[in-house]
Amino acid sequence: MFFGPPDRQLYGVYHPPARARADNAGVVLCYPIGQEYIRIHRAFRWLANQLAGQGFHVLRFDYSGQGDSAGDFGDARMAAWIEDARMAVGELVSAAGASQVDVVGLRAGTLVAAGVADLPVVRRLVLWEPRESGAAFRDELMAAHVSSELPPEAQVDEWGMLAIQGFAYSPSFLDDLAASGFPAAPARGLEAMLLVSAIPVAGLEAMVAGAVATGVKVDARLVDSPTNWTSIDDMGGLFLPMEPMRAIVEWLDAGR
Amino acid sequence: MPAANVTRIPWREEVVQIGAPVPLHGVLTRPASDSLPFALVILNSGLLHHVGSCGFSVKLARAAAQIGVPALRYDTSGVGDSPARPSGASHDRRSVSELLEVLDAMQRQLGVDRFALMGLCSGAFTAFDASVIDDRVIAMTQVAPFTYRTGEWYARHYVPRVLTYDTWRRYIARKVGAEATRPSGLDEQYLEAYDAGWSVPPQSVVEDGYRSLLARRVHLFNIMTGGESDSYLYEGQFRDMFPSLAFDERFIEWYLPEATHTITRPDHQRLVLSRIVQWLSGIARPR
Repeated sequence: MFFGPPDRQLYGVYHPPARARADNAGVVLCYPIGQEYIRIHRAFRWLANQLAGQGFHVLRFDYSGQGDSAGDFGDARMAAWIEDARMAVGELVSAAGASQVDVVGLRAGTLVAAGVADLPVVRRLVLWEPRESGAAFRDELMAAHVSSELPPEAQVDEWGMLAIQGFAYSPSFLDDLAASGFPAAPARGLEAMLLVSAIPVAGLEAMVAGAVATGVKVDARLVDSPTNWTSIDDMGGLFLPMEPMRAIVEWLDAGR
Repeated sequence: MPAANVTRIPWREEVVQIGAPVPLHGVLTRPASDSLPFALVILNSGLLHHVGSCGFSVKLARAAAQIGVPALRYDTSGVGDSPARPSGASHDRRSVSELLEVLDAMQRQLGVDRFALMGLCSGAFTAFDASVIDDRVIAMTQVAPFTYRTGEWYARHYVPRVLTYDTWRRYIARKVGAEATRPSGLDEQYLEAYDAGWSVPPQSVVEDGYRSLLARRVHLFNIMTGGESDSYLYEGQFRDMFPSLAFDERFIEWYLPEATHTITRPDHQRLVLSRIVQWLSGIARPR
C-alpha cells in the first residue's frame, strides 16, 4: 500500500491480525537506515508476521527516500522521517482501526520511534539496539565510511554526498542524526518501554530514569544474539536476529 | 508540507498483486505521461527484496518511467514482500514460471505485449531462462549472468599468480597441512541462506539459448563486474565463450572490473543506471 499525501507517498505493508485482541492494538515498525534497512527487511517481515499472529495490526513502512517510498535517499532528513512515522501511526488508526499503537524501532529507527511517543495513541515503545544518542549512529556510519577503502573519487561525490555501505548520505542528514537523541523524559501517556539489545547499552541512564520518574514501566533485556544481522554470508544468506525478535513479540504480547 | 515545496513527480507508483490465492507482490512505476509500447520487469537478486541492491531497482524503475517505460519490480514467492507459495518445484523453475505469470499480468494491466527484463545474479539467470522460452521478451539486461572460463581467462588468471610470493606460500602451506580448514562458526538457525537450486547449466545449453535470442533479434546488454572474476576477466569474453554465435550490434557486453558483484559503490550505481537507461532509450527509438 501507499499512503500519505500525493507528493510524499509512503510505501507500507500492512499485516492484518490473525485473531482479535481485546486491546485492538497495532504495531508500527521503524526500520534502520541504508544498508541495514536492506539487511533487516526479511527479519522485519518475520517479526510483523509473528505479531500479526498474536492479534496485532502491524504496519512496516519505508521512510521518505528509502525503499519504495517517494523521494531520494540523498534528500532524507530526520524530521521528515519522524513525520513519516507519525503518518504511519495515523494510518494504522484510521485505515486499520487500531485503538492504540505500539512502536518498535531498530538502531537509528529507535530515534524515529521515540519521536512519535508523544502521540496520544502511542502506548508502548520498543527500542531495539538503541545507542545513547544519534551521534553514536553518525559516528558508526562515519567509521564505516572511513574504513571502506574506497578510492578518493568514490568517497564523496560532486554533490558532497558521502558513500557509506552502498548509499550516498548527505551531510545534512548526518548532521540531523548527530543532533538526534532521546528526550530526557518520555511523553505523558506512554505506559511502558522495552530496551532490547545484544550488547549492553550505556548512556541511556538519564532517559530511563526520566521515564521511570514519570511512571513509565521500563524493561531492559540483554539477549543473546550470536550472529551479526548487519552482515551477509558468502552465498548471500541473510542472518535473522531471532532472539531479540522473540523477546519483542513476547514482551508486546504479554503486556496486553 | 507547504505548497511551495511540492515537487512534481514524473511517475506514478502503485502496489500490484499478481496471482491467486497467494499473490506476488510488486510495485509498478508508470510514466506520468504517455508510455512507450513495452514495459520493463525487474527481478529479485537472491534474497534481496524488490528494491534491489542498495535500492538500485527503485532508481532504475523511476528512471525508466522518466523516459516513458513502465517498470515493475516484484518479489518472487517467498522473497521480500511476497509470501511463500506451496510448490514442489525448485526455486529456479518456480521463479521462471512466476516471471511468465508476471508478464501475463502486465500484458493484461498495461496492454503491452513486449517486455524488457533486468536481472542481477540469480535474477539474470531467471531472466535468461524466461527470455529463451517467451518471445514477448524483446530486450534483456543481465548483470553477472552465466559465464564460462576461456583460454584467455586461464591466461589472465594464472599467469600473474605464478609470479607472486603469496601463491607459493599458500601452495606450500597446503602441502604441509599448515592451513587448517576454517569452521564457519555459524548456527544455521540464525541464517536464512539463499538456496535457489541454481547450478550453472552446461555451456552448450546457454549457447543454444543465446542462439535463439539472437535469432529473435532480442536486445542484449550483459554487464559484468569484478565480482565474477572466478569465471570472467575481460571484455569480449562472451564472444570467446560462444565462438559459434554471430553476435551483432544488438548484443552489448560491458565490463566494469572495479565494481562489486552487487554494484555497491554509489558512483558505479549511477554509471550502470545511466548506461541501462541509455540502452532502453535505444530500444525505444531503434535506428
